Parts: sequence; structure tokens; C-alpha cells
Amino acid sequence: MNMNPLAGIPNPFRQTIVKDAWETLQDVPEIHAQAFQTCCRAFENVRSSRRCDSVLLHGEAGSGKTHLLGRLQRHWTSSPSAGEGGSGNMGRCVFLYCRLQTSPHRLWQHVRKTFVEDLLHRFPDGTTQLQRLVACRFAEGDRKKQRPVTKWLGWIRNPANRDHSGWKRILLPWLEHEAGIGYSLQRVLYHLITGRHVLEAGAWLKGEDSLPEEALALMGLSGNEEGQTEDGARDVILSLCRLASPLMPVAFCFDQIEALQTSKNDEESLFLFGQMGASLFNSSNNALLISCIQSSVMDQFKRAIREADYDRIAQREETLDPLDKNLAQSLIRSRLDSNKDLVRLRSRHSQQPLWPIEPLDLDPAFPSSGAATARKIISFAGALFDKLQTGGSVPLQDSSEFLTKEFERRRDMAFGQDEAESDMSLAHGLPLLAETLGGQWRQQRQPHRDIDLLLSHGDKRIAVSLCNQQNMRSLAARLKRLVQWHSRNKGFKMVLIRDQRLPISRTAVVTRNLLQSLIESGVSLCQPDMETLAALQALRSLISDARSGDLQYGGDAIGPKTVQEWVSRNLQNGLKSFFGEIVGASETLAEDEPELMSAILAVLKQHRVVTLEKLAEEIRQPGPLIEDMVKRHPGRIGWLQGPPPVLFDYRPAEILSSREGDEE
Amino acid sequence: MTEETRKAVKGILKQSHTPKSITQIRKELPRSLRVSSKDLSALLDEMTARGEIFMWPQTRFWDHTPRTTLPQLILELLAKSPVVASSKIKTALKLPLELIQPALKELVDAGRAHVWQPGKTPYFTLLEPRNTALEIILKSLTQSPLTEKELVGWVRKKLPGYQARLLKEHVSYSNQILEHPKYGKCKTRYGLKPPEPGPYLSKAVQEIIAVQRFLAPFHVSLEAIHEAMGRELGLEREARVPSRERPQGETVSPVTERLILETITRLQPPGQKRALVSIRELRRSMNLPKKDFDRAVLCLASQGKVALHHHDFPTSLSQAEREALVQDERGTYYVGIVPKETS
Repeated sequence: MNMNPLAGIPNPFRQTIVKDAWETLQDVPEIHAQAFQTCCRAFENVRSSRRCDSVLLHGEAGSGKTHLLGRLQRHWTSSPSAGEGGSGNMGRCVFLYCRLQTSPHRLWQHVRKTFVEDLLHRFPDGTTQLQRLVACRFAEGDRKKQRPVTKWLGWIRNPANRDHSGWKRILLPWLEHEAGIGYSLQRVLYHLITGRHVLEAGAWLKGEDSLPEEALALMGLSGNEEGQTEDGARDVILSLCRLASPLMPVAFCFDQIEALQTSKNDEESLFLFGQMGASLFNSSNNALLISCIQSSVMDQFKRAIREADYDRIAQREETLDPLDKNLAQSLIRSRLDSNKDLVRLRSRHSQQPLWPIEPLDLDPAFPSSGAATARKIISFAGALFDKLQTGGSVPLQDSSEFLTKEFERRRDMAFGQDEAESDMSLAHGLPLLAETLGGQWRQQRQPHRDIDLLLSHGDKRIAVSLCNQQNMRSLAARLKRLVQWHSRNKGFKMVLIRDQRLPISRTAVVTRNLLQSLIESGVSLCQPDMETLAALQALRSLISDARSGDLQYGGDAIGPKTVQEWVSRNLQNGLKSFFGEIVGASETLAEDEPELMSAILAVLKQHRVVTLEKLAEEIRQPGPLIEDMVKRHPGRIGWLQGPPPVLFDYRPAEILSSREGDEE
Repeated sequence: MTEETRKAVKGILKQSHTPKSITQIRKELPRSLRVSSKDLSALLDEMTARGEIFMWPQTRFWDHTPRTTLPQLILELLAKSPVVASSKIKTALKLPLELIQPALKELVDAGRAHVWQPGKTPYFTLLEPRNTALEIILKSLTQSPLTEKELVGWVRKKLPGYQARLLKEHVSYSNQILEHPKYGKCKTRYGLKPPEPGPYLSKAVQEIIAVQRFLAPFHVSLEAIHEAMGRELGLEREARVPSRERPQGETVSPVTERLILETITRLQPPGQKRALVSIRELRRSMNLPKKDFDRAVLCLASQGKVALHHHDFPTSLSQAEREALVQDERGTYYVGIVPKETS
């Protein structure tokens, strides 16, 4: 019996998406070599000119932007660099990879968190970027040049030196005078560098305001009533930049700028990114900004941001072109050579460089322009490989089935997220949920820093505020500001959202009183459970990936519109009722046509989602009349314009019935 | 006056990050050790004489000697202002030139700072002047060739006082920069690539246009003259055969192709040859009939002269938005265009 020699060999083309720049991957240096060189030149320019530089990279979805960032990461953090002041293979920069799947109104906070996570990133030799950075600075400041960087690093990492008096003599003055760092940050860095209270110090540095008083006391700090703000996050980032010298620049790699958008037409988030990038550029002298954006968003990006900001974040521009056939073959060869068993088999076919793939079979992957993206080529080659293994095509599941499985997988993963992560999910996910389900609601510019989302429909306004502070002083301060804002803006319905897992302690009397007074003045409190929050996280990651072209199925990208349509058809009761609770705040109990409303709700109880046509048929009422009713009660019934127009019930039956019971 | 006071003074100066005046030191002394200004001054003089502490200008004291501390202060200043004269350093640090000049000399000798002297006044900088000038020259030439005056202007932004004689000297160090010869009205230029023949042909072009007008009554087109010139110059006809991947039956005049490539360059930010240009913007700037424009763009792509970037979700666009893009025969919509990567 002839066994297929390829059977049992894992398909080397299985991985088509690079998750982040820290991933180790097969690399073909000839691909996007020019863009790589441009980034390297910009990097050297920061070092030599002691000024910031920037590169804007654009490419199609799947063109290899993240992969290129990964190549830069390896090149800058691990390349041996003889003659670089004895730094050996210590790396030459602080590398930061920031995927922009976040709320644009919390951009600085997101960058801060990512910066700190990457600063504490551990390399295979066990050292962190922070330790390497400090060792380099010590070596730079060592006037007698007695110790090279590696020696300093060894000294820093040696637990026996933890209590060495040299720390206080050298480190604290250096942090204060050389880097101009404030007291709290000095203390936190001191703990992190000397290996004390690493957990608490790391959490503080990431911006988690929820540390208990005893943890703060342990580090010699006091609590911050304001909680984390964008300005505060910006200050920390700029301080951390000052830790590094221009000889060891901070490479900020911003990936997926388009993921910041909450809708196709959202230009505000692009504008905010421009502001953030320009501010980083202006306020430091050792930052290299590398920003990646999809080609199809470039037009909108240029329109949305200020010209001066664009100039700062695009000092150099590079395009990642789709690959021609030669580069495509190099890419395929590299993947084929990544598996030892396959290499053994391939050595018997030295005349066929792509064996087991026939080069001619790849032609359909290329459109008439003669070039295709790396992801498309890998995906196509993967399908060919599958075919060679099984002797036929592997049947593809339905894209709806794929989305269901993806949603469930992501939701299950999200069950592990902590309260701080859930808060970020809410900040980014709520506008996406509103965009998906709130067909009738328009999102407006935030009127106040404590209002995270503002929805409007006609003269109805709903102001949503996330109150997930774990530190009761921070929560009380926020509630106090909200009380004042609400008293000045009576026309707004206000909804407070607080993660159900976050109790308000009994001793927090002031906080409780403030919350109570808000509720008494008509403000709603909504407390989503873990299941709802996990579903929201799954929703936001699906839509963000789709927007960046990273949601791929069968070689084709699935767009955000497809995901949103799938979501509105398959939405869980939890998310629907959560959104219903928010927009329901705008509804008054009095109903002008109770019979019609009851009839509509009765049908919606039965079918969760129904077209206008079918509903009109069932209750024997004209469509325009129903549409008018629905549009006058946007907080009770969901409406998607379609075509065809669809109505859905925001609230699951049990909530609806209990509410109706209450009303009676 | 006790030994304790002496120790306390030492402690204060050790912890300090700047030189301190007598009044400042006196204020920081513990109440039990506080002495009159006069006594303290005497003590400080004595300590200075013993070499325990050092006197800084304006009667300030520190345990760091100006000789070792000053170079670091100068380096920090140079990091903020790239090119500085010694008089400016004097003003910024509020220290006498007698102290500053040896420190500067030391830094220059150690290769930590450089002297930049385009005229009478020497400037000090962290940048190595020749390499810096060369880097600026190379960067400014990436977009297009430039004249001597233009190049000097670019370099002066970073190195004040830069002169043409220095440019010639610096250019001679680089084997990447080519001098394009002066010809007729064309001035001497510098570039990274051999000169484009275009500017050198302006007289010849005028002549050809005159010939074409002269022969126009006989229906002799510019294309016919072009072909005749090819024959006269002994060029092989095969050299003009379209590349193998050019779509069959689709030819675009070289003039249109050149026009598109030139417009792309015009729409790119200066010096950014790899910046993506929006197809919509290019179409708006070209004013060509849609069919001709689309065909020319696809032709340029199939010849490998440009790369096209497609739109992933064209269905999310309105019909009018899609119309502004270029569509190929497989239905792929292209949204961006960029001249091909050069190896």
C-alpha cells in the first residue's frame, strides 16, 4: 500500500495571522526589505540627531505589517552590535508594540499599559527591557568605563545586591535629576528595578488605580483620588521615555490604527491618534514612531488628522507592496523549510524548489496586477497543501458557523479577564455594541470627561458613564463630579455602569450616599455580569479584527459589516438586554398606543428577531405605523434599517415580563 | 567651630546636585551647629584649601570639582542645542570662559564633541560635521536632483554657515552622489541617479515639435516622428515591444504613462517616493476619461512599474465611491498606487 508521504506532516501554511511583534516567525528578509531599511535609517537618525523620527507604513490587510514589526523587534532588541559601547547583544532600543484595539478616548492609558508590559517583557536570557535599559544607562554614566553593560546587568540582577547602598546613592538621584521623574514614579521604578514588590509596582505603573491602601503603603505611596486620566497616563509615558537615552531610543510601534474606529465613518478616533502621535513626537527627543495603517483607510486618515500632526507621524512613508511571484515563491519555500520532516522529503526533489507544490498551481492566487498579499499567498498555498495531503479539497464550513465558533472561542477566553480589563472592554466595546444594535441611536461627541458614551435619538440623550473604580476614593470623586454634571444637564438620561464583580464596601459611606443620591435623581445603575462582559469582549475583538482585515476565513477577509450583521442575527440575550437596559433609560412609562405596543412586544417575545414585513402581517397593522411606533420608542425595541428592516427585542422574556409586572 | 560642623558641611554638599552658596549651606546646617556667615566662610575657605571641597564661580561650593563636572554639563547643553558657540555656553552655564574652554578642549580631544568652524567663530556640536552634512545631502537628494544652492540651503538648517566649498569637499567623499553636468540652461545639479535625459533635450523637443507642425499638413503624427527618430538613432524596434504581462490588445501611450508617474510623484510628500497615493486623488488630478485612466493604471501595474493596493471590502462602499476606484477584470477594486520598490 502506498502511503501519502505528506500525511501526518502539519500544514506549514496554517498560521496566516501574526498576533504581535513579539512572536517568533519564519522570516524572508527580501520581503519588504526597503521598508525595513527605512525604519532602520529612522532609528539611526534618532540616535545620531537626538531628535524624534517617524515612519508611516501602509499596506493592504495581510501585507505583513505586523510581521515587519516583528523583524524590527528582533533586529533591535537582540542583534549583536559590536562597538556599541560594549552592549554585546543587549539590544539597542526599548521596543514597544501597541495594537490599537482600544477606545480612542483612552489611547494614552492603553499606550501606558502596553509600554509597561513591554518594558517588563522578559527575553530568553531572563532579563527584562527595563533591566537592560537601566544597565545601559549605568554603563553610559560610568565615566571611568570600568564596567560594560553586561556586568552592570549581572550586578542589577544579582539578588545579593538588592539591599546594596549603591542603589539609593545612584539610582534615586539619577531618576530625579537625569530623568526628571516625579516622586511616585521614582519609588515605583526603584521597586521594580531592585526587584521589590514587583506585582504591586507593575500594576501601579500600568495605571491600575485599584491598588488597596496597604499595597500603596508598602511602596511608600499614597492613593490618587482622580484615578487614571489621559493626562496622567501621558505624563508617565513621557517620564518613561526620559529613562532611555537618545542612544537607546524608544521605538513605539503602533499597529492597526484603523481598529480605533468605532464605525466606518468614525474620523474622530483617527484625529485623536494623530494628536497623540504628534504629542509624543514633540515632547521627547528619543522616540521613534512607527505607525501601521491599512491602505484603504489612508484617504480617510489624511482627511481626519491635522496636517501638522500628519507631518510628525509620517516623517518617512513606506508602502508594503503585495508580493510578486518571485517573492511569493521565496515565502512558500521558507514555510516549507520550516518543518524538518518536510525538509527531508523535499531533499529528494531538489529540482523542484517548491515541492510538493507546483508553481503553476499558484497562478490563480494572483490578480491581474500580478501581485498578491503575503497572507493571501500563504492561505492559498495552505489550501493546496491540504489538497495534496487529503487528495481532495477540505470542505469549508459556512462563514456563519465560523463566526459562531470564533465568537464562542473568544468569549470563553474572555472569562479570564480581570476587572481592569473588563473596564477597557466596556470603554471600547460599548460604542461598537451601540453601532451594531443601536440602529436608531447616534453616537455623539463626549460632553464631559466622565461621560464615556453619549447616545442620541431625536431629543432623547443618554449619557453613559463607566464607574469601575475599585478604589473607593476614586469612585467617590467620580460620582461627585457626575452629581454636579447631572444637576447642570437635566435633559440627559444618565446610566452608570459598574462591573457586577465590584462591590462597594460597607465602610465607603460617602460613595454609597453619592450613588444613592444619583439613583434618586433618576440615574440608572446597570451592573453587567461576567457572561455579558465576556460576550462584549468577544464582540469587540471580532469587530476590531475584521476592521483591520485580520479576521480571515478560507483565504478571504471577513469585513466588519458581515460581523455586525452576524451579531445582530445571532446576538445573545445577555448583550441585547444589556444594551436594552442602557437605552431603556430613555423610556417613560406612559404609552400613547398601548395596544399596538403590546401587540408588537408579544410578537417579539415569541420571535427574538423579526422583519417589519412579517410583523406587520402577524399583527395586521400597516408597516409605516409600526415603524413610527418603534422609532418613538427606541429604548424599548431594537431597529435595524436593513434592507429588509428588522425589529428585535432588546430584553429577554424574563426581564420583560418582570418589568411589565412592575409597571402594573 | 567643631569637627562636627565640618562633617555636616561635607554631608550637605555631598547630597546636593548643584553648587551651593554660603547662605544656602548655612540654612541647611542643623540648628545646633549653625555659625555666623563669616565663620562659615572661613571654614569653607579652609576646606577648599585642603581640597576637601571645591569653589565654583559666584562664591559657591560643591564637593565636585568643576573640572570633572563641567564636561557633562556641556554635553547636556549640546544635546539640547545642536550647534553652539563657546560664548553661548558661557551664558547658559553662567561660568567663566577660563573654565569652559579647557573642558571643551577635553571633550573635543576625547571625540565626545566636535568643532564646526565654517568661518571665524568656532562652534561646538555633538554631530560629526562631515557625516551630518553628507547625511542631509543624501536625504535631500532622495526625491530629485538639486542644485548647489539648494543643497547648501538644506545643510545650513542644521549646520549654520555651511558653504558651497564645503559641499564640494563633502560630496567628493561620497561615491553615491553624482554630479550632473551643466548644459545650456541646465545648471549643475547633484543626484543619486544618473541624470534624466529629459531636461537636456528641451532644445531637441522644440525642434521636433517644429518639425511635426511643419509636417502636420501631411498627417505626420508625433508617433511617426518618434519611430523615425528611433530608426535614425539606430535603436532596435524590439526594444519597444510591450512586456509579456501587458494585457493583450491594451496599449497605453508612453505620454499617458509618463504623465501618471509624474502625477504620482507630485502627489507624494516631497522625498517620499514610497508613499501610497490614493487612486481617487490621482484620478482627480489627471483629468483623463475614466476608461483611459483605468486602462493605463492596470497597464502600469502589469508592467511592474507600479504596485496597486486593493480594497478588502468594496461592498461597504457606495456605488459612487467604487466608481472612483480602478477595477480589474476579476472584479478587484484598487484604492492605492505607488511606484514599485527599487531593489
